[in-house]
Amino acid sequence: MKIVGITACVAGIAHTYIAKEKIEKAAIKLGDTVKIETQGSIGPENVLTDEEIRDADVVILATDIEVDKSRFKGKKVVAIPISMVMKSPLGVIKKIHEKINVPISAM
Amino acid sequence: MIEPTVESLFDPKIIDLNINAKTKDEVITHLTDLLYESGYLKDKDSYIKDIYFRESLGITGMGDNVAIPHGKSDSVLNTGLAIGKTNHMIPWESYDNQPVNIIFLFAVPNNDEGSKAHLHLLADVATRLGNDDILKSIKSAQDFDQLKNALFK
Repeated sequence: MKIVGITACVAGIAHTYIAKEKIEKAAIKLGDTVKIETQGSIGPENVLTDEEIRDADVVILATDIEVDKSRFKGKKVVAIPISMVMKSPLGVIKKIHEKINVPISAM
Repeated sequence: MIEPTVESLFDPKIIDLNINAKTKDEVITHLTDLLYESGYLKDKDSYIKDIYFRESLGITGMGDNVAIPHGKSDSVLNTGLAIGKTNHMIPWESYDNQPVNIIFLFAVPNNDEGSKAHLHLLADVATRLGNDDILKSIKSAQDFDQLKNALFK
């Protein structure tokens, strides 16, 4: 499964980056490809390209603040609070596989 | 302005791996004292107020006995990373409902200009905290050198 996503927390200092790492590690563990854009206090980093968004099977928005969703029109978008990623990153990715009905390719 | 290098962010003066505090307040006060005495803050009380404002927005216990409180504050003169290891488990609002014994207190000035490079370094540290393997080596660090390697290498 191809995953793209955004992480953004209230202060943009810590959780944004921790959550990115946790999503990436969990997705890779399950055999997915993944790219996560961070929208923190230093501005957007690891920015998703139009092509990456187009090719993605699913978009994860792990955000506690408003982010621009217009780039993801027509995509399957899963919006969750950062806390879910902090608590159980593997659980989140597994659940998404279930939801969009794509089997997990590795374990 | 301090050059934004790992060396300027990893400051043993604001690291205490042997804290005897028993409460969250005591830990935050102790680490804030270290930041103040080392010239990172111009005012302790308002910095602590800003830490608790951030606490009010969402919990900072990230699980695995680690907490990452942070204050973005007018009282911060230089971006700093205070690190504490406590001898007792400290009750702290955490994603796994467990107490903490390692605390990373981020001090970030309110004016972003000039501190961007430091914020990049802090973001790198945060990224590492999200990696279970690196977190393990951070938690097992016994001295400054081991801690520095785990955090930045």
